[in-house]
Amino acid sequence: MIPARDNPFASHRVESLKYRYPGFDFDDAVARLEQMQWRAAILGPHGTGKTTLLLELHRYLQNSNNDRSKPSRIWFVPRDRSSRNQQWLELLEECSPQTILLVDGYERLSWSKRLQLLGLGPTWIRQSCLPKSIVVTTHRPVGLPVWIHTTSNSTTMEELLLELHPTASPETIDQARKLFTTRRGNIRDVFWKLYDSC
Amino acid sequence: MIEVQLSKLNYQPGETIEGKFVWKQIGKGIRFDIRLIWFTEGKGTRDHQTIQKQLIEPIEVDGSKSFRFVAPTWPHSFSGQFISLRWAIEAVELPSEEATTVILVIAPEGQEIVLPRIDESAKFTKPIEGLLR
Repeated sequence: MIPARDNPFASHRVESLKYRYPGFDFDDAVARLEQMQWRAAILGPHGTGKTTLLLELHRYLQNSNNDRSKPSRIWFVPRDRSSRNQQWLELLEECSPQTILLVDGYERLSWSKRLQLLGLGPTWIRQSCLPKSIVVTTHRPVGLPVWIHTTSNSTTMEELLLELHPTASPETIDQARKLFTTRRGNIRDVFWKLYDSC
Repeated sequence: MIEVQLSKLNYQPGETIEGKFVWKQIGKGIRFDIRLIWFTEGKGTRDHQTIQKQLIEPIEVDGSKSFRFVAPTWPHSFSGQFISLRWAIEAVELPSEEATTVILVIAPEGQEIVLPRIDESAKFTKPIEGLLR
């Protein structure tokens, strides 16, 4: 048995992957996001890299060696309503209008919170604390311009698989291909299942 | 350049962890938080907690400072099929929050507890002594 810390498909390894897709260039994408004034959505189906891209953007913004680093805050919107409301209040306290807010799971928010984040809420909130820049992940259009439309393909999945597990056997790769089909292109699900095989 | 130096990496609960934090050519106004933390790795959501910390505010460009923590009695370093719990000393540069981490083991005998793989056929067949009667 491989200890959890060494499992090639452990969460911390999967989360540290960089977003990739044929033709995708991160620097070009960030330049485009700047033109969009940091108000945009990452749109795509489950397991196609939305959170991966958001995490990569967060690391990029936090890197002090980077000329473009800016104050940012990432928020993984919880499924549980009480945690969500509690974290929302914490967010209002922590963020300033200069913060770039990165929201993973934007669709879990109520309409009133979404409107506030879009700057359409009550004036006192809009002017006091909420960030003016917001990048969200979503499965459906949400009224923000689309920055990146994520999709997956089996070639990218195999590249990521070999990055996580360079010594993966041909059987594991074959299993991953089958899972990719049965899981309808959800790469996160493929790695989740492969974790158990190790 | 920063470095966390420890005389050893395996500790028993209650033992003192002594180390030295060394910095070279650091910028003005930079501070460091030396933290004793635990975190989890494995399948699913990760968890972490800072247990003790010590702030270091360097006055000179190059230098070093000793730090000391007491290894807590709980939780112990362990590793199983689905989760590993690991202890670490983390030197976090402020305000950038960039971290340098040294992994430790805190457990009886200073050895990580290794949990056996769950035997599917044995699951729930035997009552656990002291738990089910």
